[in-house]
Amino acid sequence: MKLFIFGILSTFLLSAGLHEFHVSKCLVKYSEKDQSLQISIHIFIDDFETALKDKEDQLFLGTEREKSSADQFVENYLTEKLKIKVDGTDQSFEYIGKEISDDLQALWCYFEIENTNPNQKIEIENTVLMELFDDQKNIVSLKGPLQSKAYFLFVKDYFSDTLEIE
Amino acid sequence: MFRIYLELGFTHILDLAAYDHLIFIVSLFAIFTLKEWKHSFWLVTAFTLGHSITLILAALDQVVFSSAIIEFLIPLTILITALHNVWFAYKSKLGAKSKQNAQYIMAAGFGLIHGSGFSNQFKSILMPDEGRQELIIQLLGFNVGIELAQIAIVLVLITSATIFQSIFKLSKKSWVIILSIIAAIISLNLLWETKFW
Repeated sequence: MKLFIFGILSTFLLSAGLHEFHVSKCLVKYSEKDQSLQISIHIFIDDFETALKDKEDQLFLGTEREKSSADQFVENYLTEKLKIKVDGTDQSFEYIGKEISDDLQALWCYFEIENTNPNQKIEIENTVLMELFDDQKNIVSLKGPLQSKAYFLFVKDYFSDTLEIE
Repeated sequence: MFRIYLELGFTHILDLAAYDHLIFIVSLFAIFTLKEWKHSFWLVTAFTLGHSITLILAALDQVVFSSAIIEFLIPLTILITALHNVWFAYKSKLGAKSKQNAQYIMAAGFGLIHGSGFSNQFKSILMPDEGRQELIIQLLGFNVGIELAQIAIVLVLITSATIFQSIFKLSKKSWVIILSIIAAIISLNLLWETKFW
């Protein structure tokens, strides 16, 4: 009998956490042709809503009901959570826009850093959603000039790194 | 990159975020103790083969799985495995050849279902814009990570089984039945939550 009750109770406690997947991915790619760094970041919508809800009520991201202020909140949040330095200098990026992912679970957000010519290194810091979830993992792929590339898996205690170009 | 996806696969299982897979493993391996470690290893391999196949097929977009149906089927695999254990334990036939064979069929067959479950989440962490080689590295890394985590869990499970049975003198039958009933109850709750009709 006690076993039965334990079983029932434990299932109610556990079911909330099932398949909670706190991973985002970010691609940073240098375009030689455009002399720019193109940034795309993929974030789960429900987590994103929770992060932005602090500053505003539900934004209905990615849906028809999305509030007009959504883009501004997305941009503000991401410029705070993503930092890029080229050859030691902080970069500011231009927000291009966002779109919902194919499986409708996430948003792709796009940024661009124009007029940039990395020579020695590109540093990136990505703390997206880490203020919300201790187990948040942010995958970053960084492709610089001269075929340089690096992949990082950022977590709570390690959220920035450098790509050395040659 | 391999290391990153290895870590992602490994922590995905151990983080309890995918606890339905864990409960399935507990059900499938409840009948073993340290003595049967070789058997356990082969069974894990059969399961890994099953889930690798569907994970790879889905990641390469060769097959599309209905997420709703898969989410329902996974707890069903747990329930079937658990009840299978209870039945054979009740009949004192846990060591029977028919039980052993059934285990392999369940491992491989249900592995296919669990793999489909992994695939949706794997696709969300797959790095787009990469070559074929990088895709294989990501798949391999993730799969190996999952396999390693599963082996670790099985080891802990069969060690616990040995401790409870040899030192605390709990009978194998009781161990199997207790674990299986807990798993079955959890699976019933999940079935209720994921029913898609």
